[in-house]
Amino acid sequence: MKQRKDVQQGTLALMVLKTLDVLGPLHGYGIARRIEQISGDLLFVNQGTLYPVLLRLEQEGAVASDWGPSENNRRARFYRLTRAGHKLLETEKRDWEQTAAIIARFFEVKAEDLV
Amino acid sequence: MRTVNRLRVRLRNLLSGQRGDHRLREEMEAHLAMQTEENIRTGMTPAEARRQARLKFGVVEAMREQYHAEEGLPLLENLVHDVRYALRQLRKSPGFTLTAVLTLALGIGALITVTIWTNAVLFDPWPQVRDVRSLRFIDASFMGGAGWSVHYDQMEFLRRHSHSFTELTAFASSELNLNSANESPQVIEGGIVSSNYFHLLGVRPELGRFFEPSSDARDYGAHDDVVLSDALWRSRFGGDRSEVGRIISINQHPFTVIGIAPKGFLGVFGGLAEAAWVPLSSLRDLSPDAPPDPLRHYGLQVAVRLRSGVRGGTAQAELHTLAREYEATQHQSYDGWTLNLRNCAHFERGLFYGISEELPLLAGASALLMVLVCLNIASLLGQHAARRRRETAIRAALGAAPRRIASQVLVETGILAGMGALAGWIAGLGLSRTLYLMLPGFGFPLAFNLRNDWRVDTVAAGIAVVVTLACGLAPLRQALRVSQQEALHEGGAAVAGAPRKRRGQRALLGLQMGICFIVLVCCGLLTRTALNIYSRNPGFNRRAMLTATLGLSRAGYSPGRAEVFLTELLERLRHAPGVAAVTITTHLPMGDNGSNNTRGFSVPGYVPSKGEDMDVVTDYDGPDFFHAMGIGVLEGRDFAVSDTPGSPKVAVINLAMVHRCWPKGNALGRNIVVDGIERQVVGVVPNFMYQSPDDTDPSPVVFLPYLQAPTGYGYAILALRSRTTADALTGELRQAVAALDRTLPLEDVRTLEQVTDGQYQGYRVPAELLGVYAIASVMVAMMGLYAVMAYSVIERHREFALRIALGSTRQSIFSLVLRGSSGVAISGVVTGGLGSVAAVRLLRSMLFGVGPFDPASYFAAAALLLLTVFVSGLVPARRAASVDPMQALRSE
Repeated sequence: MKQRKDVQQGTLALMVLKTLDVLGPLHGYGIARRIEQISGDLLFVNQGTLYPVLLRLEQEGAVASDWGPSENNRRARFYRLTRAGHKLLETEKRDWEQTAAIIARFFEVKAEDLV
Repeated sequence: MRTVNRLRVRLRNLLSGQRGDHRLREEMEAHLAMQTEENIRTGMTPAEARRQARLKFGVVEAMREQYHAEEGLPLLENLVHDVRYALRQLRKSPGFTLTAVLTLALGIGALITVTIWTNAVLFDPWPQVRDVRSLRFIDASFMGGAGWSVHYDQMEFLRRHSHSFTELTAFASSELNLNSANESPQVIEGGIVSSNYFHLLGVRPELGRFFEPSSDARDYGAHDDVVLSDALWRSRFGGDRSEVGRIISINQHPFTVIGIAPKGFLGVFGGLAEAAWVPLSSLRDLSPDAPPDPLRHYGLQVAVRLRSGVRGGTAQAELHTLAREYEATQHQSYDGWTLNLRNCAHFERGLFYGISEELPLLAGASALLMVLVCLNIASLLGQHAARRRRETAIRAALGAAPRRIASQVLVETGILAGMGALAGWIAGLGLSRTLYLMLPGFGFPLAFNLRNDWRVDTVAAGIAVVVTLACGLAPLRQALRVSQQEALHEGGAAVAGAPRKRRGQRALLGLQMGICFIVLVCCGLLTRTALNIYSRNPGFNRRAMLTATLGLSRAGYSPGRAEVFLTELLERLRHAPGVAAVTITTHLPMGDNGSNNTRGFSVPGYVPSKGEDMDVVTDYDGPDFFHAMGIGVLEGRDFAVSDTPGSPKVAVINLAMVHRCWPKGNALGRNIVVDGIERQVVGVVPNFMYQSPDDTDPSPVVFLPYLQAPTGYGYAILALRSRTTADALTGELRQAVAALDRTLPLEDVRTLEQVTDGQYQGYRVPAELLGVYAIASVMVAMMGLYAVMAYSVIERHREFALRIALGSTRQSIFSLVLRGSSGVAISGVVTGGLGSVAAVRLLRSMLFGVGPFDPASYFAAAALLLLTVFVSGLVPARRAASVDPMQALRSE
């Protein structure tokens, strides 16, 4: 069995935001499944950790939620991205890409480049 | 912005108690259901599908905790929980709580009392005065003695020539007779002050104005104005604003009320409370027999403000120079005078001086007590934590973070410290005022600024914090060690019979017991001293006698008028109901006024030895003096109404005088010359305690008839022997005086017991103070001892269980534990015994009728100490003896 990693909170929030951005309103289970599929089952020891993150995002006003029927006509809470959430996603994405770019350049550097 | 928003939502959640628990549960169920369905689709059995779904979801409880942490404000919530939990814990063990709080209150209360007094004496003695710390005083040294007053012209010389001071002001204190329409006459303490007095002190009037700062002090009679204190204005004039501008009579002279001093201002004369102030220029109008220039050679206190940037040393040097320069301008009368600069803490003419000397001692004693309190509280808390070891271990095992356990312990300690500080603060406020009452009666009103201000509050809060930190450390260590799950599988240690010996703690306790022993011995010695003093027969009857003073010359009485008035007053009082005897005098036995006035004398036929001092103490007394005082006349007669200025001059002498001048004892009928007047000795009386209850070597005294005094006295002290109680005569006395002179105030109306108590207080107060201290330190030591013993009993729980299981009787366990504390007791008695040898050396001068190594005091102290040790061991010993072996051994 592959070693699975628990996700850092900030990263998980970014994943949630991006998922909602791509797929539109979704319930908790759907979000969890989606993240697992994309990350190739590498993430998540516990799916439950998703819910505190959702609550925090809702308190920050990045997502809104409401009750609605699921695919199997089960009552579930659906989360959707708000305008503030869109903006937040944009900023976070930019930050993330910047960080990633910097890190990438560090890895590309070879010893002779530094002389 | 986002953070603020979150905080707002969380705070609302916290306050409204609203929780999304229901929502979360529903979401979780939906989640699990969906996952289960998914799993079934992949081919699992329904049961396996549910199990896998749960596994994937994770620990539900941890998740909920995390969810709630996001929802509310966990820090605040945890604090609230900790406080609630701590309060519950404290309520569950009321004995522990009460002991800890009371002990803390004791230590903190003592410290706060000292703080309040230090503040009142050293830092903020005079309310309303601007910048007290920059105020300096000048006094004079003369013939080797410091603390003499400064003359007005000396001060004027300083004002003209000094460069160190921005301003100088002079003041004196004097009793004033106050008369106003429709009110009974009253004697008040008044200040006679320079016109710039209020200006220099930076005091602003509450109403009206103060003296014109530039007016000339020698412009006698030009500004007969008076400023009233707020207290006098309210008590006597009902706070009437129209009182400003009215005319009142002071010493039978009209003065205009020009202003009211602000509330709390009572002058700056040491600890003396002044009620009104008149200018120096009114000096000539205050007394009928004042010289034409009363300010010449008038003794004054001088207050100054240092120029900014001038150091105290520079100013002092300049004072010395100016004092010599002044001496050069004068005739020889200022030879050897010099001037000294003092700060307010060393205002030697006031009462502060003596008290500020005692303060470091009191501060040291209370600080020592506080340290002992802290140490013992720490071991008490440690003991408390040990009893809850298992509970803490379980909490840790269930996942409580060390940080949570630590915060919980600190909160509990903090609550204890807070309660102790609060109780101590209240006790301190009460105690500091009680100390006031223990001060000897000085015969005038006192003004100590014993108020509670921010400094005191800061000290109280500071102590609470320090105590929390100091005491919290011990149980914290306990709790953290326990949380490493030692307790759950401790098992072996105690069975092996090797509980930690706590040598350090025991040594400390031994030292504490030693301190207690010293305090107890000193207390015993002082108590015996006080008892000895009280049991001495003073030689006169202190009971059922009322006394009062009449300030006759201040009220404008000439000697002739005073004689008529006093004769008439005595005649009236002699026949008043309830009065057994009445007399007047210039000095009451053990009284604070008029004692030890000496006069030159000679006895015909008596040749003084070389260098013998031919002075003798003389008092002037009215008719029936010895009868009224309860002093039996040995030979001859008492003074009588017939001893008047016109009758033959007579004297009564005491036995000591007989032994001095007539060793053969044939004094009666002989002659004695006092102040150049020849008198016949008509009576001999026994020696009585003239001045203080510890007189062992009575000095010779000559008593003369009051009315035969050469110039007449300015005052007379009335003494009335009552048939019932002294207080019953107060109304009678006031009526009789008012009937003769409506404007003459009665001063110092006190019973003879109150007058003489001042002399006993010097013995009673130290014994009482030390007694209180002894009780406090013994209580604190008891608590510490109890804590350590209870602790060791808990640690040896299994050992006791084993012993009982193996056949030991409960009796023997009981005595085994008690014997464990005997080491502490013995080391206490030994260190204390050694220490007290040094301590009683300091005490020697305070003892009376008891040796410094009085066996009774030592035995009593040792017995008390052993009893203390025994009592504090009782509860732990009983707890050890009642161990149930089955339960104890099975439970571990």
